[in-house]
Amino acid sequence: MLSQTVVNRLKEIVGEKNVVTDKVGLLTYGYDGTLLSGEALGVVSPHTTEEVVEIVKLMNEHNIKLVPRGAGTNESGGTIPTQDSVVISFTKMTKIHEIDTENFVAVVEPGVINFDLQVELEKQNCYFPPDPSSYKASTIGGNVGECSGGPKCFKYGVTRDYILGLEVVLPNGKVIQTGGRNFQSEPAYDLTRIIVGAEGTLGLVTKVFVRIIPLPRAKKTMLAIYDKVEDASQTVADIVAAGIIPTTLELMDNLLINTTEDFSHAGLPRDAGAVLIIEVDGYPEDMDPQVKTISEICNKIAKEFKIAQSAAEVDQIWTSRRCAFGSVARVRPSYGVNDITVPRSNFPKAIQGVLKVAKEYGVTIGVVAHAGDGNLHPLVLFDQRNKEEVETVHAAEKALCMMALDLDGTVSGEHGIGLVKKKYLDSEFTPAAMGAFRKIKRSFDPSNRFNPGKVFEL
Amino acid sequence: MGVLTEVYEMLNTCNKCGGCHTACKTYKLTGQETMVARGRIQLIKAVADGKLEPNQEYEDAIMSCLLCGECAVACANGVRGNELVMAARRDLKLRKGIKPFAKSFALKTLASPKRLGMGFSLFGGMGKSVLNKIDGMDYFRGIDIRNFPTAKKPFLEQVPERITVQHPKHKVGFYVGCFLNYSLDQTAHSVVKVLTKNDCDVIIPKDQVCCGLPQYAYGDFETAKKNARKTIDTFLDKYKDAEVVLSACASCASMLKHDYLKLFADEPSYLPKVELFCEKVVEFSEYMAKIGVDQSQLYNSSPVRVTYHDPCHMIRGLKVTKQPRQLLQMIPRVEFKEMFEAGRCCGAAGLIQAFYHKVSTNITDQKVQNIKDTNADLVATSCPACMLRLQGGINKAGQKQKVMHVADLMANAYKD
Amino acid sequence: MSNVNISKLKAIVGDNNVIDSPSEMAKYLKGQGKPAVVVLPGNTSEVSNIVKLANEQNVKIAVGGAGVGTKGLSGGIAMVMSRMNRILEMDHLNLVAYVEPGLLHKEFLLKVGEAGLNFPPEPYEVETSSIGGCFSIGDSDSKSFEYGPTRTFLLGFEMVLPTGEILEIGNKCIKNVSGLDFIHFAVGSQGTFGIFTKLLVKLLPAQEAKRAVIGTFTSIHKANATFNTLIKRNIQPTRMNLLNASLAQNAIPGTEGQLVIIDLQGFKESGKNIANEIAAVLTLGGGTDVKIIEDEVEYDQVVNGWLKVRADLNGKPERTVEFLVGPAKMPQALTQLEALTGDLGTYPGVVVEGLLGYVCLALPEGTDKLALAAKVNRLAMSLGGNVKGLLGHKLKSEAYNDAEMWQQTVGLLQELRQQFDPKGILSPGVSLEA
Ligand SMILES: Cc1cc2nc3c(=O)[nH]c(=O)nc-3n(C[C@H](O)[C@H](O)[C@H](O)COP(=O)(O)OP(=O)(O)OC[C@H]3O[C@@H](n4cnc5c(N)ncnc54)[C@H](O)[C@@H]3O)c2cc1C
Ligand SMILES: Cc1cc2nc3c(=O)[nH]c(=O)nc-3n(C[C@H](O)[C@H](O)[C@H](O)COP(=O)(O)OP(=O)(O)OC[C@H]3O[C@@H](n4cnc5c(N)ncnc54)[C@H](O)[C@@H]3O)c2cc1C
Repeated sequence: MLSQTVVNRLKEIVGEKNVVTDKVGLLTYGYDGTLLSGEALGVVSPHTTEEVVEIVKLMNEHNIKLVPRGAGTNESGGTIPTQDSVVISFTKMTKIHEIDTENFVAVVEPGVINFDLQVELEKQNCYFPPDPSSYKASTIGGNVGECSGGPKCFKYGVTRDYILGLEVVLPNGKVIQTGGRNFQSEPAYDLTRIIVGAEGTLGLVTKVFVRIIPLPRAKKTMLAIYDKVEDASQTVADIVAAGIIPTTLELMDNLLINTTEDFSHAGLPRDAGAVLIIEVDGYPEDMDPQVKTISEICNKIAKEFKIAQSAAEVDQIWTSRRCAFGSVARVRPSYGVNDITVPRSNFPKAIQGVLKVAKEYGVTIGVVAHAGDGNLHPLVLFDQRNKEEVETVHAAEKALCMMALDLDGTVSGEHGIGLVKKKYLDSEFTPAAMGAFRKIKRSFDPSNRFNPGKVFEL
Repeated sequence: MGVLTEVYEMLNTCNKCGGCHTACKTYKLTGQETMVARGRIQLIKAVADGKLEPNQEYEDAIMSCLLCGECAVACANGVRGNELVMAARRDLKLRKGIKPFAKSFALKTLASPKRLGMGFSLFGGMGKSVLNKIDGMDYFRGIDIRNFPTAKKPFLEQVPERITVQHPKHKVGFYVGCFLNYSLDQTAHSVVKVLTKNDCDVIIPKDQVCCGLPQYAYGDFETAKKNARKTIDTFLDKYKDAEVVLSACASCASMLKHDYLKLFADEPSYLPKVELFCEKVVEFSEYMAKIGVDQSQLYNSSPVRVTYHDPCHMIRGLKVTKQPRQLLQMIPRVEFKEMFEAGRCCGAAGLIQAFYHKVSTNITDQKVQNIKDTNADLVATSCPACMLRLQGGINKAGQKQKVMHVADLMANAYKD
Repeated sequence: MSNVNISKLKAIVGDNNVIDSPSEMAKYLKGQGKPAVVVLPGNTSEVSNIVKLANEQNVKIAVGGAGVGTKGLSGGIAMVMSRMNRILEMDHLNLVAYVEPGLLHKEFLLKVGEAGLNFPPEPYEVETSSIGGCFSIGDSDSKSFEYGPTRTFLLGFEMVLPTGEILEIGNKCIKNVSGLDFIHFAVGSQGTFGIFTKLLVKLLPAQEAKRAVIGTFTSIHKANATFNTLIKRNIQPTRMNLLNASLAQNAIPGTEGQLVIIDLQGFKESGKNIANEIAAVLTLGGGTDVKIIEDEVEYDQVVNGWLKVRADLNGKPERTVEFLVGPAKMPQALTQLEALTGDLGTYPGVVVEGLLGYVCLALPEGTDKLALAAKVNRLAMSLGGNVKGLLGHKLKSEAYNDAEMWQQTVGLLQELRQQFDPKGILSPGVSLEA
């Protein structure tokens, strides 16, 4: 419980309405995209950097910890209030300060929803390449916190590659600016980079300088259907070998083909082993040769290959992919989303590994993957009401992570570690690397006040 | 807990992915997790699990939902947040009755035709003159009361029960609904005009009552059922010859067509009759597009730019979006311009405008801006509640656009 | 007096790889400092053992690719990485390579090219830079708009920490958010966090098409204005650079006037049209001798000319001021700059990297660099920019009168360094004070 003094002071800082301490309110800030939940001492929603500073100072005076939160869509338990802490919610810092297309930069507050930024940018023929599938809900602050990816990473990279600078409130309540509006603005160490992906453990991001780029002039969408997942992987390898860097190489396995068909009736053959959505973009003149090469590659091994001829056909191709996560919820009510990632060349082995885990643990697992990145989303289906099943699923997910590590991969390609994958870090990293993380955390937050217990124990 | 048990499967299917965040206007405005389907659902689930006792904050979360249904469309998992909120409201009602304001003022009033008439005239007539005297009382909880129109006489008292044409091709039962009866009677006349111009006999039962939606939406299923039964019996027994039951109010139509089935799901003996009735229900634009409008009769001398607002019950309830646009574009010299987010709630949302007027007003302001951006002269829509809300918002913003029902625009396009 | 125990060093790396005669040492050293010894380790464990030894004896170590900066290194160990120069693996499927840090960038490029691949980061010292040095410095170059800055190309590494402990991190995945991002944070740490002993770098498929468009202008402003036209026309080439008249002739002998160099890599089919469009923009903008270059030899000459000029400037950090304002602000920046510098066309050196909105000024003899930098920074700030790097941060904080921000930033940098290197063993020449 927060003392009345603290509550009153918080209300003075952010206004009566922006402090939540009632049970109902707290309940709705106790969860994220995972099965975990917790209860915060309070929730406070600042509007400005100054308010954030005041909150941090107040919390320091009373030795209360802070859990930063954007939209709470993360898949790793990163915003679950553990330990006695106050949630600092950034959903009211939603100003887009500036969009400057000619200098390729936008300045936004952390609570701006990725989608809302994209809408504004699109009006000016620009976009912000990182677009996690949750982009309609997730905030830029959250994207920064997790260093989110999305379907375009193969060509365009991840959130890290589009953050030019940050304004950060440090655990001691002081404000620094890292980077700036331009390249080469780092103050010796590239502080921006260490805060991106730090899951709110190092500092509170209160302003983000994002790099924006012009929309591609042309785009081509293709669909290839395969008998076996291995064939799809071969296509990925061949496309890379041909010197083409597609924007997107999205794969769905047989299970997903069937669940999405049940829902969307997009016309995918139910006996297919995998489908691959391939997209290239760039200048119009460069499209045809790339499409030609890709179709030659696909036609050699794919069961079926088609090139979308109209916007409607592009839409049709994407329909299945878009409803992928949801479609499995129609099979079982709950699903665990994993984001293991392996080197591209080990992708077929990873798929085999997923099948093996499914069999060994007797669980149903469907796979959606950013195949070009070697990033798999095995969706483990279950019903959260069945405690025994939940245990099995946890065991299966652990097996998936270990499998990824055995294939020289990582337990997290884009969702972050949070609480959920914390237990695997010692398997992924050597003690020296873990030591480096702790040195960094100690430099920023010696008293372990920001998002304590997330990613690793100090 | 019975009600929540029934929907528990759906409560359990929410994976908390946040997909409903952008879909939800109340969340966008407040940034509060209690004001979005995900939060509301988790609260309802907590109540269902016995982990939370409903209290004032819970009630606010449940009652502030616009029921616009956008979260259901956005949800990849197929969770229908609006239905869950309805269930929660029902659950609340069973536990402890309904919010006093809603109970006394609105719901009871709507349930009884007599009081309803008084209610509307209070708003529009007598009450208006009183309010006019109070400085600054132009907008009562965001509702533009000064300009709230009232029919001098309810529409049902203005017209005969049967209106016939020379060469009838169709026979249409007209379910008028409260708003068109008491407030926007001109629109009701427009509906009749368009129907008769297109060779329809029109049957307008005098003893029709409120469709029951307001009560249903706040969990008072008993009263809603009473009204529904009366409506069904009236049209199916007394006016059997009506081929269809037409409504020009998207909300009523959606209630008649879809929600009656849910309302009587627990009455298997009556259900077949309900099914029969529901099949007959049709919305105005949907019907006109189906029977075909004789375009050669339509006339319009001056160019006009028109945009269209999809009422929640129209786009997500009835899933009718193309037809009104087709009809509008049949009128000569109409330049049709889509607005941004045409399908998003205008803020009226039943009684939300009264209970949670700040949220509601903000939502309306956004809508009004979107309308402005189109440079349209006219805003067409298909629901009287939206018409009033939008006109109020437009007036408040000092804009000039006029809001009309699709039927009004069409009716005006007939020479006589 | 030095504590360095030469014989222990020899025991670690072998007699031949320890050099302590001043005359022989000289060719490995840069600057005035007087280290006690130069060592050339051959593998990671040797590096580790040297560092451990230095810890025991409390001596400082500085690292270098081919040569070592000796600032603050008197009595210390200069570690030259040139023996660790192998490509350990070139993985075509995953588009990655494992390389040792002492490998020269230019040699790596050669091998990468032979493999039909591309490694975009381009150090300013193209002749002498090592891969380890590239990642230790980090930074962006005029191709970074298209490819991203240097860090984009690091996926993992092996590093000997200041304690001698060996740290390995990263994998061949191009997406990886596990743990904290020490991988990219280490880029640009200038040897203060540790010594790279192995690098896992990301590669791209080779760019099949290469074209350049060049043109000369009498006015630097007119030349620069064409960049804005191109950006407005939604053309983003690979490089879009400008050298003022004083530098232009060093890049392409015989050039008269301000030289615009526009590089188009990888626009395989569209390149022809784009090059034509660019040429037209340059001509309409007042350019003369506008030329589209498609011949490979000539293309290389142009690019190498550019690189040579950059290398020359890089050799004199005390005589350059660098700032960034964003591409669209450049016309105003150049105009306002002339109030500080006089005619830019004939200034000792002006380089504009148009896509990054970056300017490098080569200062005339006797200029007070810091005073000018402060003025330039104010100018840049008024246009949303700043002087590059740590110095820029300092000047910015000063301009805001925000001593606290500066203290916090520097405090944080030093705390980080201290955490990694509590005894202050590594890279004594690197200052985090600006
Ligand atoms: C259906 C679905 C699809 C998804 N698809 C993808 C995908 O394709 N790619 C992908 O990478 N991820 C994906 N995610 C995961 C998640 O959406 C992303 O990680 C997203 O970036 C989180 O944003 P958020 O606003 O919800 O942040 P939150 O979940 O609220 O927070 C994420 C982390 O950032 C920290 N944080 C938030 N705001 C701040 C701040 N201002 N300062 C400091 N720290 C802060 C939090 O403490 C937390 O550790 C998906 C999730 C769902 C539910
Ligand atoms: C894209 C790009 C842009 C650049 N831009 C600039 C610029 O604007 N200005 C500029 O001055 N330089 C710039 N450089 C760097 C410049 O070219 C460097 O001189 C060069 O890259 C360093 O290589 P070197 O082997 O000569 O390093 P050295 O001169 O030997 O060392 C440079 C620094 O790196 C450290 N270092 C070297 N090897 C290692 C190792 N194995 N482990 C740890 N630390 C090591 C040294 O301690 C020293 O601090 C840029 C480099 C790149 C890649």
